Amino acid sequence: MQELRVLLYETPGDPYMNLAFEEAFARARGAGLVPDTLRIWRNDRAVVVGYFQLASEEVDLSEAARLGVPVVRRFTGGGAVYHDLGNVNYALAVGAPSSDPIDYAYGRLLRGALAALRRLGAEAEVENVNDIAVRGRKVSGAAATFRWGSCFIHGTLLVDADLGVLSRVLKPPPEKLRSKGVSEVKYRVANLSEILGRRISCREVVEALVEGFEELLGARAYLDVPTRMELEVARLLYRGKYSRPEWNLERFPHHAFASLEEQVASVLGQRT
Amino acid sequence: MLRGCAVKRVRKGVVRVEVLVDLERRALAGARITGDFFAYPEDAVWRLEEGLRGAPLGEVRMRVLSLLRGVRLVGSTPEDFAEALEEAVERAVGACKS
Repeated sequence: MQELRVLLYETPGDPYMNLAFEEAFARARGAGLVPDTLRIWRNDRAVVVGYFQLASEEVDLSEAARLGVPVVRRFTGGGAVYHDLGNVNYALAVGAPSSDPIDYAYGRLLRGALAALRRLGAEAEVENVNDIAVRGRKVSGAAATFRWGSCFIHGTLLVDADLGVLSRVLKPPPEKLRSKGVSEVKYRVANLSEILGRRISCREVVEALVEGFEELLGARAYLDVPTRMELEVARLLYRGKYSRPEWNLERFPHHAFASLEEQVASVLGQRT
Repeated sequence: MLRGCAVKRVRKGVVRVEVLVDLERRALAGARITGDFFAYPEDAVWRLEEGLRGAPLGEVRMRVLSLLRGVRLVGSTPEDFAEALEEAVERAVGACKS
């Protein structure tokens, strides 16, 4: 039976490091230095904006600063999301598929998260390509990338996040767009615990995600820790990119960080 | 130099555009495209912005469609981007007239 490496590595108090590590393990998988890997992790209060987003357009930056909510940009497209310890993130990095990677990521890999939600008892459905909704309310959103030679998808799962803080730090979509009912489910988020009417523990969610992806991939999961190389790449990415305002607030592309790219390539290259 | 903005709803989310128009040359001096869309490969968005710099105003639409050829968009279309760019240009030019 195939195996699925599972990492529970997280740095909730440092969202910049959490995202740096996210890129590091995606790249390590792409370079063939680690096997297929599922990571489950959390941030304490943070806003995570999409690769094509400008933080100031999506986030009330002064309110975020006042509430002590850091803003960090991720390397995948899609919209801004609010994280706290009541939101569980999953990330899956596998080898490049032989079929169309976009269909594979959103059409197939996403079903691991769907299976997890159903295991928790939710009548979950995929909506509009990459959202998962229960009774018309979004509890999970996902985003994929195929950069670095792997097929990578990550997503959120709102369990019992503080939606009050969410609505204070995330700017609402422009009024004229809302009235036209654009991607409505995208903006109608809810916590799974509220929908299911019961308390859901983090452990339960982790188990459901692991089992959901085991089932999807026909693989047996085993718990692992990050390799020294993954942590080294994460530290480089943290210093050179994720801890920097020009990455988080200004929307520069990866290639604007040229010397960092060289350093990372050299670390990945040395070990191949 | 005139500035214009547009926000266009697309099937999944929004495409926001901000342009700088050089009215003397009747050309785009710069464009910034942001939003919660998905484009693969991702760097095509920056190539689009670079490719639009200096584009004559009448050719913006054609340039957008040509620069997005081969780019996979999820939840939006090249037309969405072309329309958002054109609207931002119209607003920039209109702001001058008014």
